[in-house]
Amino acid sequence: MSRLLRVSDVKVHFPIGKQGFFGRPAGYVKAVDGVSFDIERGETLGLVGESGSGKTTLGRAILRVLEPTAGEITYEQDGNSVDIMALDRRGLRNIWRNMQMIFQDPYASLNPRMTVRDIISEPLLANRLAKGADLDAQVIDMAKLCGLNTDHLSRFPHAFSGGQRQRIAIARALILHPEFIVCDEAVSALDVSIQAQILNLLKDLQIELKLTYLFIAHDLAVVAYACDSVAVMYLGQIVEIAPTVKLYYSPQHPYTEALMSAIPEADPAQVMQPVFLTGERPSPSKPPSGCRFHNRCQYATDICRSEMPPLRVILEGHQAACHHSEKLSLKGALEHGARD
Amino acid sequence: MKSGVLLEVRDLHITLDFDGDDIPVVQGIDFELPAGKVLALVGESGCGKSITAQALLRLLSRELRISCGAINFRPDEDQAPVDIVSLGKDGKEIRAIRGNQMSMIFQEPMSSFSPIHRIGDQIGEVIELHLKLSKAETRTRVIELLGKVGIPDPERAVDQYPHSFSGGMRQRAMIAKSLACDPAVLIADEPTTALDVTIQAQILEIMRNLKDEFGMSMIFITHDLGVVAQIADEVAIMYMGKIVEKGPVMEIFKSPQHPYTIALLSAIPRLGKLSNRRKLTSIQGSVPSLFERPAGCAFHPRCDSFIATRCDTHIPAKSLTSAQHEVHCFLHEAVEAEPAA
Repeated sequence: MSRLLRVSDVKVHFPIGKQGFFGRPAGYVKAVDGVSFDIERGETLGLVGESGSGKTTLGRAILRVLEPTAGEITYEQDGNSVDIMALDRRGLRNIWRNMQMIFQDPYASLNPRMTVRDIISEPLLANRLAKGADLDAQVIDMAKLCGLNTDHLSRFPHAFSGGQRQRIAIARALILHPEFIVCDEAVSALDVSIQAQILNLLKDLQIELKLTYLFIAHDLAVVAYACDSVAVMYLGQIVEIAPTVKLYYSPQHPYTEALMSAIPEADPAQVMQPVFLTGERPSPSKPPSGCRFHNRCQYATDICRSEMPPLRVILEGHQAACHHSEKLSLKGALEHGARD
Repeated sequence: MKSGVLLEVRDLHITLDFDGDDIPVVQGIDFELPAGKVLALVGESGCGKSITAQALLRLLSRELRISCGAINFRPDEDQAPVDIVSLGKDGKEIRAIRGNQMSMIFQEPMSSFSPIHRIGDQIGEVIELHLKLSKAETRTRVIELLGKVGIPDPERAVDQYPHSFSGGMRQRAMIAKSLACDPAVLIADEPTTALDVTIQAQILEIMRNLKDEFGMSMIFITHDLGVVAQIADEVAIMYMGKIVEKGPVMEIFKSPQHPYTIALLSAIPRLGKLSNRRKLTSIQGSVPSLFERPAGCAFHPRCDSFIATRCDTHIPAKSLTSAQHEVHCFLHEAVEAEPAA
């Protein structure tokens, strides 16, 4: 596999509390604070974390839909490395043909005044890539691929259920044949039975169209199912990143352990034994010194309070940002007991 | 009413008034809540689970109406049960029950508190109203309640406003408020859905303690089968306003009988064996709208075991697969009718 995207030391800081009219901001919310990772072509990288951890902000910053404060983003396109941070408006428009996004709420992300046909064809028209019969044919092909009934293309979004709307949103995102898709909580608003349909669709499309996904979600069971590797975010930083099986079954960061232990397993015989985090999550405008997790971590020592642990390789392919990873034997998801 | 049963719902029907037409939303459901147990009402959005819960406290909005059925509530074994359906919607009797003998926790901890009143005053209001305690006694009680649900420094929290509480803290305060008068029944409508997974685990732990330590009886409404497995004793699976299957939690998860339950359980991603992830089994189609309710069994257009001229014309009756496990499906009626096969 070859690398598709490299993100290094990306930061997104939002100024807060201006002092005076022209004054300097009183502080910054460090929504994303120094994040680095690679995505391989054809893989699905999961991005998990609790609300406010910066996962959505990061997803948007990678596409420069939201301007990063600092960092480098390199995208491999047809053998060339494209520095996304250096692109002007026109360059961005071009690269966005390859990089698309699917949003959480299919009720808010589709224009209620446009027919499904118009919604799906808009990217083609906006980029002047097709018109007339060719446009129609492309729209119909994509609608079929996404499991939409092509007789219903002249209807408006309100006539569709949540799952159908998400299919429309997916068709719109894929119509330009992008390589990279940011799925921001793409199945979170859907019911269980529909969620399974959309997850399966995303998987089929990935194989068919050779897509690479950044899959942002808070539901850890969904992420486990959908992703090849997973990155865990806490207060704007990645605390652990590893192949899914390793991350879930043998986590190397205490925060990942706490997350894993809190997943309610759909089996009444497996009583959950959550590791409770003490205290409240600190505000991203005033992150704690040293390791950002230290004030809630049961394993914290003096070094954790003073020095920020870098994200480093603990085992092959398994990175974590913890001073004590080697000394701890943390519990993963499997240790709740044998499962069917 | 059987002894040991606090709440009994019989043949409850709820209709939606839509331009003068009565659209059925809940179609004849029956369940019982035994003392000290947690009953989970489970289903996808639009199955009528929240509306059922609201009906128990007569909190339905104006367009929704209980068209028939009974809700028998007996907080005290020695007394005769009260039929909540027969009470006025805003009368004295129902107000004496609401928040006192039966209380409710809502999904959105952000919008269930008034932003301009102190947390302590909002919890105290319930106590003053029902228990008629003095200001000082109320305050002591509120502080005790806040401590019980794990809010740190309750003496300080009592004077704070909701905006200084995080989502998890607000949900704890909401639980404290609902416990203020030691209710016999607690109704929790998706209490953890809006919360992060680590906070959810904490709230579930609190609710489990309430059950174990105080013998609280709960009706727990959720769509999350993981949460159900972790908290419920009894489970009722709802689909389009009907209970399709009901039974003890272990039986529902280990030997589900209704095709809908079976499909739901196989549609959830599990952490079991991640190394050989199979495709998720999805349920075809989606839940029809209330205005397009299929004839016969409402699940038949999405069912893999659909029997033509039977499922699409007749409504399956209840059949028992064990003493406490009931299922509404023709597959099981057939088994009973032909024991030799």
